[in-house]
Amino acid sequence: MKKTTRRNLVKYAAVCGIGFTVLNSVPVVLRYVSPSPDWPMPKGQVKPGPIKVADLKDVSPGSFTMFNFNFGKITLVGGLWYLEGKVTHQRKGATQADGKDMGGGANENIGLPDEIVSYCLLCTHLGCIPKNWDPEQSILTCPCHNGMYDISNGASVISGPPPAAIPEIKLEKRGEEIWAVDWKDLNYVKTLDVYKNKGAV
Amino acid sequence: MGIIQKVIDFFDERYFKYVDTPGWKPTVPNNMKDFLEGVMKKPIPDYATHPMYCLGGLAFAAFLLQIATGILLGMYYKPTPEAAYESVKFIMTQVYMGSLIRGLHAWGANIFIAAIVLHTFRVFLTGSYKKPRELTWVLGVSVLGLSLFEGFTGYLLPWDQLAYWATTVGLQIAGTVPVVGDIIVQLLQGGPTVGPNTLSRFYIIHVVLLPLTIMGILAIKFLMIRRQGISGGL
Repeated sequence: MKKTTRRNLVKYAAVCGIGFTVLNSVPVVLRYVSPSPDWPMPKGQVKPGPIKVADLKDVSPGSFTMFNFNFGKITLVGGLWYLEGKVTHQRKGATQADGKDMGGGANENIGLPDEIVSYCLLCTHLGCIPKNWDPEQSILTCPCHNGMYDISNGASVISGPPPAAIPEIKLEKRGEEIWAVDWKDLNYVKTLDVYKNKGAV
Repeated sequence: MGIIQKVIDFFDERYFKYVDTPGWKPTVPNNMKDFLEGVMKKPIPDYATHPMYCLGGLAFAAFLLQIATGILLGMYYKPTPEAAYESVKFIMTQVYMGSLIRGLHAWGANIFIAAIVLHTFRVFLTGSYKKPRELTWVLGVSVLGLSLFEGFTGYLLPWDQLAYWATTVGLQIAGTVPVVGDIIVQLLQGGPTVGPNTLSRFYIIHVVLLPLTIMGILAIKFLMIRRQGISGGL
């Protein structure tokens, strides 16, 4: 073993000090370059989870509004309707193969009337945003290839190329606000090719 | 055999001992240990251990700090008029230790230039610039000039009011240079007023052009100092 001289002691102290400083900076730098879930989302994107979509006082019979939501993967656009006349919600348990006629389902929204419904605005054909709303016939048309959805009847496809209905979003009344909380039927959304390809589920 | 010895042998066999021309003798030692010792353990004169002789090394350390913190800042900074200020605000308020990194970069810039200025004084007052070291002095003064320009270009990048008007005034001063003033302003500004092109130009000058130039000059300067040694004594 080497003899501990004064010179060696100073040398090792210096090397250890510098090494300690450098090693200490490694975790700081790693955390500095790592994205944090606390960061604000880019413009037009929202954080995953339930989201407030409207105040109850702002929706009235005949109204249609759009909102952004994110149920875990990507930000999507949703539509919120307060319909008039007879309304049936989307039924559950369907797949893309048999999802064209989707009416007759139960209202699973918590604390809200039958007439308030919400669907995801991502066309099951090629992923455009269907937003041409005809309140007279309660038909939502996709501007890309004229796919038509009957919003008052479970968003059933009544004409055009979409293979299946756009999926319903489950709503909840929280105080005097309407919140979008989850997919009504996640298993149905998982069978939609466009939703899978876009990474929505 | 220890792991360190294995590493040394690896490089010795692949580089230091390897000579492809028969009869030609390499000018550096033919093993890593001697080579590194020659680099690391070069003796320096006693007078060169005085703190005044450490200012150049301090400037170089500050330069390395600027590169390290600059790379980290570049991971979030966006050089466009729309996003520049927001990205700086993001670094200062959202990124972990972001304000520390930016603080190190800003203070490091001051230390860098202060150390270079003091080092220049030292070299001047000890007469170290005299023959045969005039060329080293010329390189050193160019680094001083480039570092001031580096500070000027970095000052615009936050794209706030202070940065904008400081650059406007600075470019107006540059415009008063006889004959070439207008050309310099046109080249730096990239338009009739300080605008998006100015930000792009200052950014690329600040992060690529000047650092590479300074690195090149410093490399040559250090080789010259190694060869000629440190002059004089206080």
